[in-house]
Amino acid sequence: MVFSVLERFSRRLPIVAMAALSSAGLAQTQAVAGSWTVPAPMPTHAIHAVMLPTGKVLYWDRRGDTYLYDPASQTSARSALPPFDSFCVGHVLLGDGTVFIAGGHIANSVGLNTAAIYNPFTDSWKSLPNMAYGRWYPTCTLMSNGKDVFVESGQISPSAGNALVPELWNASLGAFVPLPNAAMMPQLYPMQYLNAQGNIVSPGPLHYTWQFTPTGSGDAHKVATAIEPVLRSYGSSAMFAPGQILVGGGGTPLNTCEILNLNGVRPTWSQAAPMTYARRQHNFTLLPDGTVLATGGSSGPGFTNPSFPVYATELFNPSSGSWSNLAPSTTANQAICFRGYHSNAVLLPDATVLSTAGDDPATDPSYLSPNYQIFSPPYEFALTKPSITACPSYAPFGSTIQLTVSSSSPIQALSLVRLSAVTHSTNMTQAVAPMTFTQAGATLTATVPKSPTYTPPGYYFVFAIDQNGGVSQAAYLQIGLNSILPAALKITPASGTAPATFSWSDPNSDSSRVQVVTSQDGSTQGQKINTTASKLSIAEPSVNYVQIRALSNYGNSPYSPWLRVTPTTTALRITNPDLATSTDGIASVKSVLTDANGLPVPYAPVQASIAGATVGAAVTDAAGYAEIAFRAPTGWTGGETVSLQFPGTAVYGPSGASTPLAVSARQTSITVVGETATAGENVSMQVSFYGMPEQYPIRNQSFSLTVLLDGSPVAACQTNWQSTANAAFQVPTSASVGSHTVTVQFAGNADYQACSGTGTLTVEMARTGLRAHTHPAALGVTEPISVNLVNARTNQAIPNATVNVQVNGADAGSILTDATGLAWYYMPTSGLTPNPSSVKFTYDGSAVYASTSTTATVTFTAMDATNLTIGSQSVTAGRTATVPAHLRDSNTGLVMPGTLLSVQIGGESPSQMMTDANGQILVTVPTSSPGVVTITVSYEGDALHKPCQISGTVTAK
Amino acid sequence: MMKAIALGITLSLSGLAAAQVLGVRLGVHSTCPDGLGGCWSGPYEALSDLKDITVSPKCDYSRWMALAKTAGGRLPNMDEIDRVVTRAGQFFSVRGYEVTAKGFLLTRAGQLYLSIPTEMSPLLLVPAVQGHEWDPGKGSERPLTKEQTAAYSKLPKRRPSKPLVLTGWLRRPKGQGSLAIEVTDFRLLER
Repeated sequence: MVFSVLERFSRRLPIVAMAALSSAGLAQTQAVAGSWTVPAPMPTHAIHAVMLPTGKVLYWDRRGDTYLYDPASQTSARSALPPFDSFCVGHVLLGDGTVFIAGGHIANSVGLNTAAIYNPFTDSWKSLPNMAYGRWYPTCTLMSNGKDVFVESGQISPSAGNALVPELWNASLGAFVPLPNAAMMPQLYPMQYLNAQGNIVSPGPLHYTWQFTPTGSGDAHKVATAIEPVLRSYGSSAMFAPGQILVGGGGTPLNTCEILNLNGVRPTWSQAAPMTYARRQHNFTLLPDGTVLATGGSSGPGFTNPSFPVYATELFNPSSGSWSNLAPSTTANQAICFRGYHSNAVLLPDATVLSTAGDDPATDPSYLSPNYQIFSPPYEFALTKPSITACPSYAPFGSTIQLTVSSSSPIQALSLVRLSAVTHSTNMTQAVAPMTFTQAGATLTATVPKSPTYTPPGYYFVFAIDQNGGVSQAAYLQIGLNSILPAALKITPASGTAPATFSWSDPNSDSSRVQVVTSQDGSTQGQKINTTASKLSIAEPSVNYVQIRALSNYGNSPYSPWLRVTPTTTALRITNPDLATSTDGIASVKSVLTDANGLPVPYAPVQASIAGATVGAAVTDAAGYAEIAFRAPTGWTGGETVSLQFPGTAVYGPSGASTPLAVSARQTSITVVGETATAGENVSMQVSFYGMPEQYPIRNQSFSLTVLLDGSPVAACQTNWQSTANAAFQVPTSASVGSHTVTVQFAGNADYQACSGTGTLTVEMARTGLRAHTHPAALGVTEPISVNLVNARTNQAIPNATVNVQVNGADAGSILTDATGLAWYYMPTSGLTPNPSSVKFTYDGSAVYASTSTTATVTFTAMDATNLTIGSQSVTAGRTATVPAHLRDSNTGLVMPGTLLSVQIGGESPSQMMTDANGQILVTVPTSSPGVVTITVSYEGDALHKPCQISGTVTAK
Repeated sequence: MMKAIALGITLSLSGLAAAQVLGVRLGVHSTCPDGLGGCWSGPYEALSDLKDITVSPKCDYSRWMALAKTAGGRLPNMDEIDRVVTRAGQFFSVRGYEVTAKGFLLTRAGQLYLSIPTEMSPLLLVPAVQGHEWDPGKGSERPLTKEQTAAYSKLPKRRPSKPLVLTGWLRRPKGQGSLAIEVTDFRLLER
């Protein structure tokens, strides 16, 4: 009954096509189909997304840049960075609300063996000891104690393939425990669920259903076979009810779905209704009412296919076993956002769904700007909406809690939904379970699930659903194990001297294991050892204390009083004292820990430090051996000393050892990608800088490189964060056609050895181009013609080049290009025929430039005749005469204003005068004695006007 | 499962007496972005369903070659393997089948054949022209070595009295032609 809300809606409001609705029907439509927001920007692609108990969503991208999205304010802010590149990790929320991640990114298909825990309440990270295997695309599954995590699959490297051996993060030991007998050949990011027996079941993507046992050395075997013989790679899954897993899509891609039932004697598969749309790279998201939302993905062939995006939203209703179509995420008037590879969907506390990211691995991930959309399922548009006004923050399994609600409609269902941690279509934590309850007014009395099997310890959304289908904002409830406490152990004796054996019994047989805590002083707790044994023998001679308590999945008994013991001495011996590595390389120090009798000390913590800083830790194996591997960072000179320390336990005294560490500069290599260019061209050659011998990029450092062309320095460049650089320089114009060697050198430094790499620069003959610029000319006037000579490949000018000129087929000399590739030819036109005339410019080429030519056509226009008039005057000697002169175009009769005329008075030097608006100048002629002064006015003509000249006289009397 | 992983499959000569096709290497091809190293489990699971061939979980990821042994020392059923591999999805196919077989040389109409007791018809031997081992770094098939290319020309031209162990790529018959082996290596045995 709890999960029938949508079904009731479906009966009341039949689904109709969105396009057929008027605006008046929008509210009704939304109550059936839900509604999407338009895309809104985010700082980066949320490839990994984890819903936190703080109400925010932790997300990060392929660089491991982490942000917190606040659904309340719809804003993002930077958060603390993880201690390693967390792209492609697996992740779960632990029972205390912290986020466990394992694996990570060295390069595509190359996984880290790192792990860490994020504390959302302090926004801080804590590194964990390393796993045995690098893992890129692992899946993490939380165990029923809320602390241990089963880590499966993940790629080690392209040459090593996937990690076959899963590992268990044993929180009590503080170490990863490999499970060698659980080895199998896994898919990346496999689907994984905990079953009632504490085993992990993987319903996909493989055709066979595998079951893993995470205890001892582990076990793996097939327990069922899916109905369809297909590989559902990049399909999605969700446990929509306790023990009921919907698996759908993926593969070619498929629209088919199947349900795996874990509740029987053995897992069984049944066929489920198919989705309307085939999907791959999509997401299944659990909603509060137990329905499963399918969003995104691509329906076309290929790994992820942006040409076949699935914008349709579908909803699986377990009550009816059918899918229904909801509102599409993209409509014609919205921006298109393909939610394919790397897309995510997360249920938010307001019962809406955050849908983010999605890219195409064949292209740059930034091709789609980071954005998100919010989907409001149909219940968001119900007639009423209840609210939870009070809810306890913590409840143990099987307990009864009271909630207060405000609702105009009776509450129909209370739903627990575990917070999501999702990436690559794989949600590793989401779970949903109904809570039985009774209602008395505003008070709901509800029962928390009794078993952590399908609802492991941790933080849950609590949603109230009223009889109109309205869903409340979520309250947060942490469900924990600390309620049913085992009884105190009966321990004998109360104290002992080494070798001392303490035995205990569980009076109620309600504990699963025992924890022994050591102390140096009988008050401060030291190491904690968990065991399932019923006695413990302690052989150390030095004075120490232990206390013991019983543990169970539901809590712990009180500690016993401190039991006094006498510890024994230990000796820690380094078995490989010739310890050496290179910068960025791995050093692995091996040791064996023995007691005073020379017997191995098993399962004892050993810590390695250099100059007081811890560099690694390990736990000795059954033979007392421990191996600690750590990476030598830049800055280590080789004079370091590795100190191993066993801090001692309740039964073993502390011991230590040290050995020098030889750190050599790391070998490096450079590759240069060849390029083709022409002389004078600016060229950029791609350079990759690697640390050897693994040939991994040295990221997040900058190295100065020198670029030489045929042995001569031509440029310098720096590597970027991806350890690549561009060797950019201009090819000398004197460079000969053919192959040249470009050498990129790294001079080396204290941490990295010098190296160089070469690439071939092929200088090819450049095509050239000549462009001549002409305009109509006038016969008799010298015509200037400009010519540009360029490198046709780069459009760069070719300077200092000789261009030969032929006018109408006759040689007319040569001209030289200037620094801009420009040359001028001044063409004499007197008596030139024919009209138009042709001028051919020819560049004969050089060793690096090809020859070229162009022919310009010059058309001549007729010149207008001009006419100058001037008067003659008589004045009394000693007076000044003013003589006007006029210039006209004889063909048009128009005056010619603004024209320079040359005026010569008598034998004086000529001067320049400009005609006024009337084409007139006024010539002033001073006289001193009687006589005649001749005035000569000349117009030299221009491209359109012929020259003319006239003389006048001034007679002084 | 663990026993299979630990056992692996080797092509030592110790099994000569029992088997005639001593071993098979499948050039399993992957176009998924994670290469064959990240995706091998898909085709491996599908191949594991076949009854007449046993495929090792250990794959040579540097050449994208899977090791296998056929039941009864028979030649691999290429059509069946091709069909099963594609069950794992659109990303997988088989580039080629390399067999190592023990038999005797025959000459017919000037052509060399390998006769092996487990097969009804002798196998035509031809020079190797194309290798099918993959070079993940270059994204292409590795070229044949000079020795592989020259292997056919070094075969005895008359039927020797001694058996030989021969390695090469299977070439499907064209029309009514014979199934052929593109010879890349051989070794005459003492008996």
